[in-house]
Amino acid sequence: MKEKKSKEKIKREIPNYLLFDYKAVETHLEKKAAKGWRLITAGTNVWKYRQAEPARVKYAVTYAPDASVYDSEPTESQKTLADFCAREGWVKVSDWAQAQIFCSEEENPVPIETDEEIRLEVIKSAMKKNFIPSNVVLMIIMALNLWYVASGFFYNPLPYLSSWLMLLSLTFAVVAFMLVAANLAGYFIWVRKSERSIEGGGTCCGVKILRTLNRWCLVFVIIYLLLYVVSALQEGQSDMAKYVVFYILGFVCLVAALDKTREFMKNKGASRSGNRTVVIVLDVILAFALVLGARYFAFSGNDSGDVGDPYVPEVHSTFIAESISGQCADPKFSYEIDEVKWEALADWCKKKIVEAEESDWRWIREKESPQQWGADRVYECGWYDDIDGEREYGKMDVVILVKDNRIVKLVNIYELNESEVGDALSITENIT
Amino acid sequence: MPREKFRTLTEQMFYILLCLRKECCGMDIMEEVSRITEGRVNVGPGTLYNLLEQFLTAGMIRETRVEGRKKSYILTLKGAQILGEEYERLRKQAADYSRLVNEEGV
Repeated sequence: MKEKKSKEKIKREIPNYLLFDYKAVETHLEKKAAKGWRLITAGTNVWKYRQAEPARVKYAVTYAPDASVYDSEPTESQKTLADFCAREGWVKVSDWAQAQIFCSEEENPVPIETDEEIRLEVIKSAMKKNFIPSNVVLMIIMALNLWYVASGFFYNPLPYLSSWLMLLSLTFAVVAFMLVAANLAGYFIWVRKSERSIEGGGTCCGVKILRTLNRWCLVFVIIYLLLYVVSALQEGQSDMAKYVVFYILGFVCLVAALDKTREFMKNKGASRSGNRTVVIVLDVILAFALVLGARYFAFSGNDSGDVGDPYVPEVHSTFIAESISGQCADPKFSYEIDEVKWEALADWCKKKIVEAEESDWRWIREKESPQQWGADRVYECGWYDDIDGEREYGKMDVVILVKDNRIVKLVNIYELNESEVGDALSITENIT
Repeated sequence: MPREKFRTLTEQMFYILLCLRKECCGMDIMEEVSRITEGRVNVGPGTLYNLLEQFLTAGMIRETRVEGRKKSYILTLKGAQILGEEYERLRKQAADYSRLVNEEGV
């Protein structure tokens, strides 16, 4: 991404470094300077460089725990730190949250940090202000999302296993939670390893594995989103594909708008708390607007509730399972046919689909002669109610038929008699 | 096990405190340490800034003068005592070394 601005070439990049990974940031900036790109500002989401003569520039990252991205000007401690560094020839380049980035073109400048124990203490203190709380909040959100998706999956796994869209949602929930947890755990492991290294006279450790993991995380998100859109289109859910595309574009605009607002407030000299309040309120408003806007954009044409011809079977298929659902007019019933392709999951899926019917106020009974309908097992289900201590059983409204790895579920069949149910099952045998 | 804070001093802590026997401006300490150790010990600006903050919090030094962001410090009694204890520790180490090396050789 390049743009011309009054003859000076500017380059922007999205940083992909962990806040405490100072070594990687220093090395990256030194390589950039050697290629002729000098850092101008290190924003939260975008770093800006200007073109210059390639040079051997030394970069150093230190930390000011009391600094904030919402400050309109540096705190007293940041200013004093910059004064101390200037005395040794270090020039302040930019803040990156609590990280303070300096550079020096001197041959052998005295390092900014000469005591690794003090360096680690300051990093720990800075991370308590930013990295740890933000990652804990993110992990809670990801854990709630995982819990929501996983509870649906363990209630009835077949909708997830037979649809790419659902399978991707499940995979995303698991991987996203693991990535955030790995980042947080990785930080604490890094602190422990660095403490041991310093006790032995060494320096703070590198964060290579975590850095690589975070790079892959970005690749994962891009691939995931592409797959999600393609799957939605493939499964005939173009509205969902539109929703995701609109949401991604909207999310990028939202992040940019928040960045611009924060910078605007900083330039206007707003206080830290004032700036933070405005940005948080705007964040909440824009987040709601984004969800509502995406829904309106994607689904507004579907107010009639028209979901296509219900008598044409809807097919979802993955390498794990296949699902066909639809309705039949004569006799009148709805059906769901699932086929588990993975032998190892077949018994579990069959068990789960029956268990899903075993909820409160539902009766379920296994038929004694399943062979009558050419099945291995047949379950009949319906509602019951307790009136004046007496249990009253309602009419059968669901039949589940299991044969090999195929599970047929007939729903809304309360108007059918036993013979018609048999006919309905015969009809489903021909649906593939 | 991490070292108990300021129970023993690192070389840099020792020389910073040594410089502050007399009132000294924070920024001048870097040059002063380098001068008195003939360039053997260098204190980085980030390390110095953070150590001065920690010494202040621990009551080992106090501010004497503030001119804008330029602050001067001097050792407190507590700081002088800790510095003295460190010197004693180092002196005993040196004495043990001399005695054993003179008696038994290296």
